[in-house]
Amino acid sequence: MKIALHASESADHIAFIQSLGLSDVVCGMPAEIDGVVPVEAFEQRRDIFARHNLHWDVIENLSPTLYDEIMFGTAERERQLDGVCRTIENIGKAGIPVLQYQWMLLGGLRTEYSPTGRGGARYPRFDSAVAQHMAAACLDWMGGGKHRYPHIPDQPLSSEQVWAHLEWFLKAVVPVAESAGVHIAAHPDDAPVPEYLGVARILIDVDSLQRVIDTVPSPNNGIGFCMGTIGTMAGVDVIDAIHRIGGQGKVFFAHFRNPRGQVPSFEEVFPDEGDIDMAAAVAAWQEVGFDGVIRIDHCPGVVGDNGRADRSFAFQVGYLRGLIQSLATGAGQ
Amino acid sequence: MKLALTVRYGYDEELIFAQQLGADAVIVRFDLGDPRDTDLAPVAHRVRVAGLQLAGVELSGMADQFQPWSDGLTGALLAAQNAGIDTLLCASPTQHASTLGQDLEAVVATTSMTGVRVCLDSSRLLPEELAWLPAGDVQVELVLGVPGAGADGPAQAAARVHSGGISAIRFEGGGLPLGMGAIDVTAMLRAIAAAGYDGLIRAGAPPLLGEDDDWNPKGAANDLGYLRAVLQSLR
Repeated sequence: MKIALHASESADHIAFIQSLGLSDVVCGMPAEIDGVVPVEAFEQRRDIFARHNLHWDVIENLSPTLYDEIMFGTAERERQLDGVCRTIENIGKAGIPVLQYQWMLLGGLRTEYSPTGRGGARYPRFDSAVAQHMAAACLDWMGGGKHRYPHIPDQPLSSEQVWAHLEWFLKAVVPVAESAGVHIAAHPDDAPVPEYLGVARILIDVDSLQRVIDTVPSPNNGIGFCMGTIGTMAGVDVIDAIHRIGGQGKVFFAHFRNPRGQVPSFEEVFPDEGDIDMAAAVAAWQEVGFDGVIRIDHCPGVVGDNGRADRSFAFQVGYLRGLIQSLATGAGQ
Repeated sequence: MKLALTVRYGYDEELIFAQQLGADAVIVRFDLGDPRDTDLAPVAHRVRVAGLQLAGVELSGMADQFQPWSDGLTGALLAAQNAGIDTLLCASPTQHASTLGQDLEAVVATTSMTGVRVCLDSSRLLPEELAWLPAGDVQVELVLGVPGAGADGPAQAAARVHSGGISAIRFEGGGLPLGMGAIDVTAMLRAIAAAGYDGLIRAGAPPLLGEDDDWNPKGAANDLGYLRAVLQSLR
């Protein structure tokens, strides 16, 4: 299991990541040109990291503007599909092994970012009762509203419709990913509620993640296992989920985060105080033989931190490293 | 074990930071060389009203020579007693070897009178000095991660704990994040826990992680998170 942070190309951020002793990073996708991200864009970014002895393991995420018409199932989806496939081919040519994508038509959802945490730390929170009457739950969080994605929906979409769109996408894209040597990883819906503003959200329990895997059986079709999101799914035990999905070798990428509560309401807290027994979770990752990248996910806002939340991320990197090393030491005794 | 974060006196941000990151307690670094600050009552008060537990005051700015060092420490012990502070941490002034016991007699007497414990930094003591301690309430902060500071491996650390007089344990990463340096922190912690240690632990000087403020809060956060995780995994 390799600890990673989401990286930018800034020298200061790269220096921070290096000083933490990390060698793996994940990063977003470069800008597309006419619906395709060129191979040179991936190579250029990959080489910047490589010059600092950092390996770009995961693209997080496939830019929604490359496939939003596919998610919504519009007449434009064929055109977008060609761009997605060519982009995946370029990812493969650049040697980046994992591409994460999500199928949240209206993006991630949060309703608060309040100083209600330990010592007044700011915790992102979600409450379904609030979100149902608040379009800003997605637009504020995802920075939408001014852009094409996410936006307030034009019409309702059922679970069956959204599943049909995802299956159409997978059947077209997975064979391309196989040929390109790219592993595509579906991130669950965060927050995992069944609908928002009349649009269904489908990846909201462990069975739905299994359905993604089973829709197109392939060694290149799997899951981006967000511990925080899965931990907030109603009634889900994250340790069991790690064993179920990870035990199939279907986790291509993981997020390290510990929430408190499950839908209909939850908050994102520090990793040492959430509902998930993180030591047991790391032990579970080791038991299923997960050797991919686990990225420190969102984190609470702490006093004096910079815009990247370096202080909060540093705490979580230390915490995860401590668990990994301690469990390894304990296993050896 | 109780996990503490070291903060500087007068820096509110550091107290808030400790609380947010879930430190069980703080050790406040207090500059004894600053003549404007001789009263420890405000130190205890600020920590208390911030909702934190004060595990001790670490004295800095002390004299290098024994007598003025001893005088300063005696004054601090009395100030600590008045402030309700039960532990002072500091480094010894010079290396005394055979005369340390005799030299510290007055300090030992003052600790008995005040009920305030002194923890001497093991990385500043010679082996023969360490062997003399504890003496009454003059005890040891065992420093792990500095060669020759009293325990160079888990077995030695456990033996030190068994021998008694260890009131605090500090892990030094040598400029690297804990877990990335030469010291096997997890093995050390497992060993001292198995030896029955249940006292105070803290990280030492935090590493500089990228660009940072002068108190290296990123490094402090990383090391606190590391120690918290190992403690949780032991449970």
